[in-house]
Amino acid sequence: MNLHLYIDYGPVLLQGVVFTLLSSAGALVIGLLWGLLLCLLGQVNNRLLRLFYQLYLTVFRGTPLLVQIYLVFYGGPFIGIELSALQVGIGGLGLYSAAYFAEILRSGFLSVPPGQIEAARDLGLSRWQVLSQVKLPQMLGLVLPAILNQTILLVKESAILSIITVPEMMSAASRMSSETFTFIEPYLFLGLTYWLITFLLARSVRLLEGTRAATSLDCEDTACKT
Amino acid sequence: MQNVGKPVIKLINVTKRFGDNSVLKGISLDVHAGEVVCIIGGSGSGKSTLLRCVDFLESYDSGEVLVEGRLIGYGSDPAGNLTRLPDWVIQKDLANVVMVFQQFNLWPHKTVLENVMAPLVLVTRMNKTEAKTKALAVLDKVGMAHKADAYPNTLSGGQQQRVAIARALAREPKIMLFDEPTSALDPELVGEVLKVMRTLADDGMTMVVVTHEMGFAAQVADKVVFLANGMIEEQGAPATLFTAPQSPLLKSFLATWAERNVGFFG
Repeated sequence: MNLHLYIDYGPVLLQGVVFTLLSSAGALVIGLLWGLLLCLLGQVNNRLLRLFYQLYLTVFRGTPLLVQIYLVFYGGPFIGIELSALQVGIGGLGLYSAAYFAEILRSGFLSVPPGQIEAARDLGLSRWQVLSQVKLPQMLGLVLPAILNQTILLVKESAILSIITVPEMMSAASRMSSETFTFIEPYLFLGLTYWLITFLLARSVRLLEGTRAATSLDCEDTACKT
Repeated sequence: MQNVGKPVIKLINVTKRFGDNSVLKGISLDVHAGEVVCIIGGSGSGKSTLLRCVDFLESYDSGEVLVEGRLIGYGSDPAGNLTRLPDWVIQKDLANVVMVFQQFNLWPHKTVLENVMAPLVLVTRMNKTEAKTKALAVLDKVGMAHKADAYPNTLSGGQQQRVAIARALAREPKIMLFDEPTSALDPELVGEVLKVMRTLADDGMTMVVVTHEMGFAAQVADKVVFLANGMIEEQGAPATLFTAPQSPLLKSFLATWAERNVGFFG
C-alpha cells in the first residue's frame, strides 16, 4: 500500500465522490418524482395511460441501463439529441430508476385499505386530499425499506456513468489505476467509499423509520381487530 | 312520526347488478326527515348495496336515487342524455349525507382528534382552533373526548366506531347511513355503539341503518324494511312487522333469528 498516492490523487478522487453524489442525488429526485407521477398515471382509469405505464416498465426494466445510456449518449447526436455526459447520466439513471420506484409506490398504494379511502371520499375529501392525507402518509412508512434498497442500487449503478466520461468515483479510480499501475489503492478506496455512502444512507433511513415507529403508525393485526 | 312534506331520500325502482348477479331488482323507498329506517334481511339480500347506492359509493344501473330532491350520480348532458356526474359534483350533492361503516375506516396514522378534525379543516375549511373545539364537542357527545390524543389502533372496536360516528357527526349531516355498524364488534361492545345511535335518533337525526340488531330496530326504528333477493319483501312499523309478519320469507327470517336466541334466553 502506497498511502502517498491518496495525497497525489486526492483532488481527483474527491471530485469523483462529488460527481457520484451529485448524479445519484439528481437521479434519485428525478426517479422518485417521475416514478410517483408514472404510478399515478398508471392508476387512472384510462386504457392509453395504463398502456403507456406498461410500455414504460417494459422498456426501462427490460433493457440494461448501459444500453439505454449508450443509445442516448452516442446514438442521440445522430437524431439531433445532443446532451452533456452528466445530463445523459443523471437523466438516464433517473428515468431508469423511475420504473422501479413506480412499482414500489404502486405496491404501497395497494396496501392502503380501500375502506379508508371510501370513508375519506364519503366525508368530502378531494382526490388530492385523499392522496396527501390518507394514502401517502400511510404507504411511505411501508415502502421506505424498498425505496432504500432501490436507492442503494441507484448509487452503485451510477458507476456506469464512468463509461460515458462522467468524472465520477469509478472513473477517478480507473484514472488513478491506469496512471500509476496500481490496483489495490484505487479500487479499495472505491469499494470503501461506495460502502460508506450506502451505509450512511441506510442509517439515516433507519433513523427516519425509528421516529415514525415511535409515533406508532402501524396497525398490528391484533390491535386492528375489535 | 308524521310524514309531512317531501321525503329526504326517495328511491324509485332502483336496480343494480354485479355481472350476472342482480343485487337490487327495483327498490322504491321513501325516507322522511327525522325518520329512523332500519333495513334487515339475510346476507346477500342486497341491503348493504342499497345503502351504498344512496351515498353513491356504488353506482346504480337504473331507477332514481333522490336525496333532498336532487338526482344523485347522474345528470343530463346538453343533448339530453343521462351521464354520470363528476365525483366532486356528487360529493357536493351528498354533502349532507354521511356513512358509518362496518369496519369503522378510521385513518390509523391520525389521532382520534385528527381523524375528526381532518374533514372539518380540509372540506369545510374551518380554521384549526374552531375545528378542534368542534371535534372535541362531538367526541364528548359519543363519550370519547378523553381519548382525543390516542391512535385508533389502541382503542376497542366499540370505541373506534364511536369515534367514526363522531367524525361523521362533525360534518353536521342531515342524514346518516349506518352499514352494519355493530357487526364487526365483540358482543359486549355492541351496546355502547347502539346507545350513541339511540341518542342521535332521539335528537331527530334522519337515519338509515342496515343492521342485524333486531332489538334496536324494534325499539328505535320508525319503519323497518325487510329485504330479500334484492326486493323489498315487506315494510312497516316495527310493532306490526315483528309481531305479525305477512310474508313467508320474513316469517322464516324472524323464526331463524328467534330460534338462535331462544336457547340463550332459555
